[in-house]
Amino acid sequence: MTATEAPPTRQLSYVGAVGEAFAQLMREDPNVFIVGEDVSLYGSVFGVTRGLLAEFGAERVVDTPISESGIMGLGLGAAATGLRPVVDIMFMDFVGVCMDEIVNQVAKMKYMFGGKVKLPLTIHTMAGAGTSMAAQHSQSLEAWFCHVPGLKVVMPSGPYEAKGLMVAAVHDDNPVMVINTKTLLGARAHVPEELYEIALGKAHVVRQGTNFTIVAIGRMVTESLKAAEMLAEDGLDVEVIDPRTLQPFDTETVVQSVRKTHRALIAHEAVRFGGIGAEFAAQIQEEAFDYLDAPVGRVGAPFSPVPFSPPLEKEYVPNAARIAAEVRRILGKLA
Amino acid sequence: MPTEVLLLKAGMTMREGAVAEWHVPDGGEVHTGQPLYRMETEKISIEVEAEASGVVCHAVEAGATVAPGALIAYILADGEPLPPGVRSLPNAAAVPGKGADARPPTTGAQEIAASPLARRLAKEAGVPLASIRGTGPGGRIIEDDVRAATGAGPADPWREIAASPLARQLAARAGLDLTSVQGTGPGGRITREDVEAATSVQPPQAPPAALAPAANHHPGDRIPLRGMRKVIAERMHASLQDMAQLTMGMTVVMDEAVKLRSQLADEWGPQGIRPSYTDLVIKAVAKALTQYPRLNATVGDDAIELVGKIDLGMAVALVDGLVVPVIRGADRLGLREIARESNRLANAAREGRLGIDEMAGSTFSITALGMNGVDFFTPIVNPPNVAILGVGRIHDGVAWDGDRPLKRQEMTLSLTIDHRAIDGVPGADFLGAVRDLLEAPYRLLI
Amino acid sequence: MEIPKETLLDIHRRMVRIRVFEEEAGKLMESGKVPGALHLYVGQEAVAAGVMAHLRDEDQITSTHRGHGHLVAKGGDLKKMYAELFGRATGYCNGKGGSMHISDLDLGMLGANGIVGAGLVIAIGAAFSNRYRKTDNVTCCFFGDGASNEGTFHEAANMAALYKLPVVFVCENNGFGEYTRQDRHQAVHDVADRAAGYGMPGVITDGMDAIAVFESAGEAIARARRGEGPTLLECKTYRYFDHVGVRGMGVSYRDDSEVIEWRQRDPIPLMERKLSELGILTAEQAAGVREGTLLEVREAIAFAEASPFPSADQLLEDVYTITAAGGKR
Repeated sequence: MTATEAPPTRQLSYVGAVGEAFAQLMREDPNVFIVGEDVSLYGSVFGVTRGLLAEFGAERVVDTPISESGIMGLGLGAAATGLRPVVDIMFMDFVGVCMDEIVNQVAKMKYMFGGKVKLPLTIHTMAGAGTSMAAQHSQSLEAWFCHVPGLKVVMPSGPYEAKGLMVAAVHDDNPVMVINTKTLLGARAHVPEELYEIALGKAHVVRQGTNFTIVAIGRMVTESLKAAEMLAEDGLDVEVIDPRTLQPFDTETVVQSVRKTHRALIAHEAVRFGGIGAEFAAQIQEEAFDYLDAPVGRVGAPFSPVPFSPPLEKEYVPNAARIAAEVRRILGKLA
Repeated sequence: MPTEVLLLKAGMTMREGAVAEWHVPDGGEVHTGQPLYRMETEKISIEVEAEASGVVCHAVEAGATVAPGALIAYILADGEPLPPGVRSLPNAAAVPGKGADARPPTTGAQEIAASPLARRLAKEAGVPLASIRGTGPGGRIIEDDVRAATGAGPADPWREIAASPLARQLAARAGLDLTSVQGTGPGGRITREDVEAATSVQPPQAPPAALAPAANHHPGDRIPLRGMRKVIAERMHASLQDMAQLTMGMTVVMDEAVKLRSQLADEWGPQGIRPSYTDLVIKAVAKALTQYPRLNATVGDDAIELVGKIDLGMAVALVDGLVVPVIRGADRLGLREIARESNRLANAAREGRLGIDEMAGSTFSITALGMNGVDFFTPIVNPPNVAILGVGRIHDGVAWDGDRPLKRQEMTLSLTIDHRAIDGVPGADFLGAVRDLLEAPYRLLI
Repeated sequence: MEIPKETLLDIHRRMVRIRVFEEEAGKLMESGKVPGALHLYVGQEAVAAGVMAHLRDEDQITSTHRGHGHLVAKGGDLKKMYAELFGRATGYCNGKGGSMHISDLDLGMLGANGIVGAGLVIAIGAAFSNRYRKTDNVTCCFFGDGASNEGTFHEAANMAALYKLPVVFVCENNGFGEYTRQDRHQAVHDVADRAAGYGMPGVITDGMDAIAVFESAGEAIARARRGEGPTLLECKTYRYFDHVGVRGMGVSYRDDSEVIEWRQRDPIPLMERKLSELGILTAEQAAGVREGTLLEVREAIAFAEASPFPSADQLLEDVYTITAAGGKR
């Protein structure tokens, strides 16, 4: 029998995938609009909104002053009165300026109002280090928002996820924060042309394995796959899981995996201490304690702000080699 | 040699039991036949007598819950020492209210580093941790150490065999034992090509399992319960344990179906589609399920959830195993599409090319043993479904017109239902609906 | 400007409703019958009534921690309001929000807010939405002198003026940012002075005079409806009760004489005198309005007290909106 023919693929960049999601969403629903700094005329500093102004006009692609509180509040007020806004916070590091709007207003309004409001708001932002943007333009702060009931948080790991998760986020009637990663912008992968959703709250087993589980988010998914290849030489058969949605987290899929493999670690770009890996690790040890043959490890950035100097930044950001080394360290040596 | 006292196994399904109470204290004397401990399981409470005389040395405390057959005590003959490496429990701490400053002396066991998994495995096997040598980081006892100590063999024997992950996956799906495969990759690593070569020894259109295993196995062989075999074993056992299964048979007059199938085979043959009787049954089931959605359901904790879609699992026998690929949306497919799809999936299954997504999520399953000469059988429901239909063989039967015998073709359908979700009568109604469709099979073409 | 008689009576009724609601709520708080803290609007009624008399249900308002007056003036259901203060399941927010988060989306009341200044940026969102959806709805944003110092004021004012949003910023300058007097928390005396800095008109009006408020608000709202952009309307007003709770006199941070002096300008008697002069409302009729309102309020409180608390399983409800799986528009 002949092998099944591979279906034709359409390669699209991560940037393109996000932009395509926006365009298709805006075509589908006139209540969707995008608001933020430099999103309209400039097409966003990351290029994700290029072409949207020409197609949809300035009413729906709105440039703002540098006023994160105002931008977030505008998104909230619009979402509470029937629209479906996408609010762009240029760099995730700027969320500090609108923390109250996100944490005290957006996240809580539905609950405080006894459910009598619907906030179909999407917050789009860019995280990640490795581009010499230094401490205030390079953070990954997803852990902060996973901690706030009322918000959902997703973190795409590639172009396919970037489009599918953005569509799901905008379609969702809840506030969803979509955290894209700057260093993934150039990645290319097959992205279907049609409008599609990746279901929120469902993890994806990227690579099946039998004796070690790596839970990775964002760009660390790519790095973990590389690490898995390295570790295969040592006889390890690593299963890599991409949660895709951080809140709500698909505990079940991860726990099932660890019950099978007995060993696990979590890899993320964010600072290791208090990173979201700590929550995942706690859940794993709670639900799969009797199946663990080794402590649950975490790979994250060291406990410092992101350094500027390139060799220091290179040290700082986790990569495949670090992940593989941590796996070996947890196992003592290779069994 | 000290006599080992192992926890009594009471009944086939007993999973664990507690030593509720010791009737002889640690260090006390006991005679054969004297009550030694009381065991409690969730079903029973039973007094267990000593089978030897001597000094009792507890290996577990009162209240401890262990697996049946686990070591719970030793009975030492006069002057006999404990087996080396085994330390006795501190019985002093067991006496309650001894005084505020009675600090329990530390057991050796608490100072031993062992992974949670290793602890559990050791406990289940009744092997004291103190007797196991740890090879993990810092001398920690890990899973492999426990397995070595219990003679269970390495946890993941495949780790000892160099094989690429893809090769492992393909081998697992094909139910292939990697130890039997010759590796041609670097350093003798087993590659995907090696696995494909090994599985292609069976011709793609091989007849179902009936004869093949006999050629591969010999008396005295030990077939490890791993991979697909293990999965099947666990699932089948769990299915029977978790559900209340009831099977009913019904005879179907197949004359019209035989004619129809023959016609369709002629018509579709040139396009490479071979319709089978099972395909007719699949279509009949799909149609009948739209009338009887209760059989297309899942049992949850406190509700029966009817599933919106009809995805029919079709059991395909392999060399040494069984897979159940799924025909999705069978109610929306015509008979031709079903035949084409079932062909495709069966071939893919036998070649080990089925994707995970092609095997997951059936809402109702169909299994056929007719070609193996079976008339009626009790198929086991494929969890989380609530029913499964078995197809028997078509054979000559007799109907009576007064005193005159009439020859006709008959086939028995065997429907197993989960009685938690479906009662006998609705099940029989559904089965009757399937029969009616098969007996007037032109309805399957509509 | 000739204001119709019905409108004047309506404004008066709204003020009395607020006053009675708040006084009774204050008693409930003092006697420990309602949990938590209430921030009461007594003294500022003219502002809410004068503005709300112009608004339709589709016009939105954002509010402050001192939001009961706003919701009552906008037509809030007194039963649901009291039930919310009591934390009952029949309250506006099913007991989940309390006084500081009380809201009625159907009336366009986008919620009281526990964060000073938060409503300013939410208001520009509602105004943006009004225009996006091609309506002529207007959003009125209520905030205090204290809030005018928050960053949100700056950002909202700038964006509203820049985009010419249909919003009216109603500053209820009651002379205090919590317990700190205005001249100790900002360098300007008239918050309206700030408007010019943002490119919008700033208007000052007597916040104890409901008719003055009604007239100034009318102009600002009409401006917004015409698409000419925002206005900053500063209403000079005063709160007779404490920042939180009832005690108006004998507090440490202001002199009793000040309260007494401002009481001379109590907006309700002021209005009643005007209406009497116009021959629209006699003293008996005014008393009748008050009595009728008191009855309604007592009934509402009884309803609230008899209402059940939310059950434990409601704790986790409404954190998220749940839609049917795969639900797409």
